[in-house]
Amino acid sequence: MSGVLNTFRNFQQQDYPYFRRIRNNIVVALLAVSLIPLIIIGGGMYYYASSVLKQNTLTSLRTEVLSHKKAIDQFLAERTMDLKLVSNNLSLSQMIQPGVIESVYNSLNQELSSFIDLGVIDGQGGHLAYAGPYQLISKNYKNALWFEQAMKHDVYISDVFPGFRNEPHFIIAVKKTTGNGPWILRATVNAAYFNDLVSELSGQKKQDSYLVNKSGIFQTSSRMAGKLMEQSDIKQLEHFKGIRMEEKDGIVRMTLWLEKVPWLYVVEINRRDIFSKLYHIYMLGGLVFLLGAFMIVWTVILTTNRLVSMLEYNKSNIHVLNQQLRRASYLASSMELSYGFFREIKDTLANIDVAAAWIRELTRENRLDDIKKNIEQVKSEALRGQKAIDKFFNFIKPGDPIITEVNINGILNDLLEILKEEFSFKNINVKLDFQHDFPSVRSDASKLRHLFQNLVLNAMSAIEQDGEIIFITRSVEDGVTVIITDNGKGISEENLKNIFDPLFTTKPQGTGLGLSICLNILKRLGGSISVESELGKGASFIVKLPFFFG
Amino acid sequence: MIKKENLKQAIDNISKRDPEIGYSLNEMFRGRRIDTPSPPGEIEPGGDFYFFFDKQKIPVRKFIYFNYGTAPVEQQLLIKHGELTKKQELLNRQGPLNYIQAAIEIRDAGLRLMVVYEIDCLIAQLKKDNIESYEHLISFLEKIKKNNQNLKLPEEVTDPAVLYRGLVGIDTQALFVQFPFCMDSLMQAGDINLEYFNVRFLLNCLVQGTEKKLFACVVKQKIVGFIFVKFRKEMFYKGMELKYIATLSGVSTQPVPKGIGTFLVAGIWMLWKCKITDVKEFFLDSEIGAKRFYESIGFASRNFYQYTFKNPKGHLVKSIIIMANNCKNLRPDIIKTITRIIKKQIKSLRRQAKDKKQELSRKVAIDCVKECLRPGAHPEFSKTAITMLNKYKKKIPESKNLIQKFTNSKK
Repeated sequence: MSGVLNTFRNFQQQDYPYFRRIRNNIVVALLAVSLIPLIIIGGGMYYYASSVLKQNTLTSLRTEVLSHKKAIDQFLAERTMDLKLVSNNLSLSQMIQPGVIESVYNSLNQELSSFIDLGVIDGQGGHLAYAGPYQLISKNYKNALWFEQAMKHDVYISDVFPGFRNEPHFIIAVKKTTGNGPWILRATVNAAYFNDLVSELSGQKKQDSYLVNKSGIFQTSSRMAGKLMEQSDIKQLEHFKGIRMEEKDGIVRMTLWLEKVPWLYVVEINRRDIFSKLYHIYMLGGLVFLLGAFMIVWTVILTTNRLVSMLEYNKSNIHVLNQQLRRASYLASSMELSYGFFREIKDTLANIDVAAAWIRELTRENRLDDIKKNIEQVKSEALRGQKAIDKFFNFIKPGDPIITEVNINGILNDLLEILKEEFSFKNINVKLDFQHDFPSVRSDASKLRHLFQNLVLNAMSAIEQDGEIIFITRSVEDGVTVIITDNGKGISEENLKNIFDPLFTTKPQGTGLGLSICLNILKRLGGSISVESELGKGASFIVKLPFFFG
Repeated sequence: MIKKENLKQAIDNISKRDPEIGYSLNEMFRGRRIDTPSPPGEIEPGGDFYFFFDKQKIPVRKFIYFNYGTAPVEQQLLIKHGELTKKQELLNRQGPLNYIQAAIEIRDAGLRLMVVYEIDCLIAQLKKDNIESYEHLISFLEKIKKNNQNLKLPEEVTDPAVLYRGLVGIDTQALFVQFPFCMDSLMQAGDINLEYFNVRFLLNCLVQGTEKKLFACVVKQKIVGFIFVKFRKEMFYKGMELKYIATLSGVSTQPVPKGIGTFLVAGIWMLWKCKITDVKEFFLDSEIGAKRFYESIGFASRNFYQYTFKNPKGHLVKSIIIMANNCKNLRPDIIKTITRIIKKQIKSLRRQAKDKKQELSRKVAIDCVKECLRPGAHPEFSKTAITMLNKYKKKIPESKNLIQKFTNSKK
């Protein structure tokens, strides 16, 4: 029973699927097959391109920082060379002659004003000559750290210190030894110029670059990290080769040691600024991806909607066409059914005609009693005709598809009553073997009438003339079995396989719909149909119907 | 809008519960005897959705459709199927047909089938939940299903289900009742198919225990309107929200007496003052569509989305006075409250009408006074009215006439 119920439900669902559900499934599937490759390929390309671009950007930045460091080194080397050149070409006595040092100072600053002042200092730290804006001629540097270092080395570049002028500056000192002992040519480097040189890393406007000494003291001012001569947060100042790069809080810091002086060159750049162009590319890529994805989604939804709507519409039309086809087939079989009915009506009319002719004759003879008898005969024939018409129309009229208590024997009797004339005309003997004591079946009476009508007409068509049809009804465990057996031509084994297929027919005038409709009706009503046949011996159609619907 | 798929879904839901009805509906759906409007998405002028059953337009209330999914579609399909079955049965019946009686029988059969189906659904759900306290409810639902004669719409004023009695339209007697759960009332609810108050909502009230907050206006044993209130409780606050109200006005094709909405609000006002005194205020959430109605009876807007009840105004006062006149044993404080309202109404008559609107409200106020002076009115109300009319007789031109009529009626 439950199997029948499931078949019935499945049949109903296949019959009209939930198109919106189908639509959703199609949309999801189409989006998955189009978006997943897009995401994989796009993502891969994105990853590869961004890695290459990142690498290139960092390499070019590294090159830039290195070359800038070289420029700083070169500046210090050139300034040192300038002082060496002067000390080599001019003797101490020449240097201390009035006006010479001023002339040398002017000559050094002629091309590039890189020095603030210039002084000649003897071995005791006293100023022998001085050119510059400060009053330092009387000052003695014997205790100054730079002096100490300069006396030890031939060339010395100091850290930044305030000195006598009380302003942060650094100096380059070149030691020369003559017969009178050592003397030093010392020059203060133009701090503003040097600061600009250090801080301006070409191409990177938003960077911060500065120098710190071994102790982490700022040697040039920093835009963000601290002021000149303040302690920086840079630790671990051991010497290393090449460039070190580290990232913290979105800031990329590159550090490298200068060659001429033990200062650490530090460049700090916001990560966003380094990769700003890359981010623009990301944005553009993302936008293109989103636009593409949106277009895909839009196209998929639009086309699927259209397709599903068409499908829905067509399915709906198919249902209507099916219904019309069934109706047409029903009308066709009803036409066959009507032959007997028309014959009965014809007989009735003929009887009325005869009676009317008799009445005319009797009127002439004025035999009133006989006239009355014949009028009664006309009335009785008219009533017979009326009953035949009622029976026929009641049988063939399409009823509403409502499940009610159906008396199977009753339906078969009504059908046989209509076909009575036709059976007699074709000389078909009808045998009834009905079981009468089974309950009614809950089913669709109008559909069952259609079903049995098709089967009986099929049997009659198989017999053609002179034969026998046996109707058996039996109550089985959970329903009723109706067997309609004819002794007609029978069905070949090959045709038996296809007999319930739509449009399959062996008759030249057949529609091939009758039995397929029978199968369809029984499926919907939860019943079943089978056939047993032997060629030349006839066929038996076995219909099984459950007592209870569903 | 209702799509083909929604119809199919509704039919399949019915099929699961009742395969026989499901079969019939499926067959009709397949043959397009049950169909959606073409073009799809077309809606009724009132904004409701609809579908076709045997070429007949079947409306589906939008609010219910959005709140309950295909439930209203299922209900309408069941009603139509029940009608179809009954029609067949009557056609197969021998003998002549009384067409009017047959039409009533057909409609009743459809409605009954739908109500029984809804009750069966609910019982099945309750049994599935398997909660002990539902046993009583299930037996009550079974009683309704069997159309137990003890459960019926109140016929007389003396019926304990009747809370208040009043008038709607010109002079039609109406009863304010707690919704009486019985086959007849549920069938009527299904028949009038009002917004919000569909059968599933009404039955759910029983499950949720909110059936005591559901009231109806009954005229000649026919339900013509519903009102549903909800309590909002906070620490030191209890408010009563007018959650849903719906009447037959503008829905029924038959002539419907006016003032059913006002009558229902008056009933709630009386309840508030007489029985649920701990409620601090009476309010409703945004009802832009009926803004004018609410403002005309005394609601004032609060914030952007709420209306709070201030003082009864216009027709509501008349409805309250009539209800109070028909009440026995009114508490003194309620009498005092109503006399205060009457005083206010009479005071408002001192001003002469300058435009049509004022003229109309003046007319309504005079009607209220007339209700106070009618024979059988509460003596306190009559006394107050007479006192006030005497006090302002110079300013109220109608006062002389009103007092005269009252004196004559006393004689």
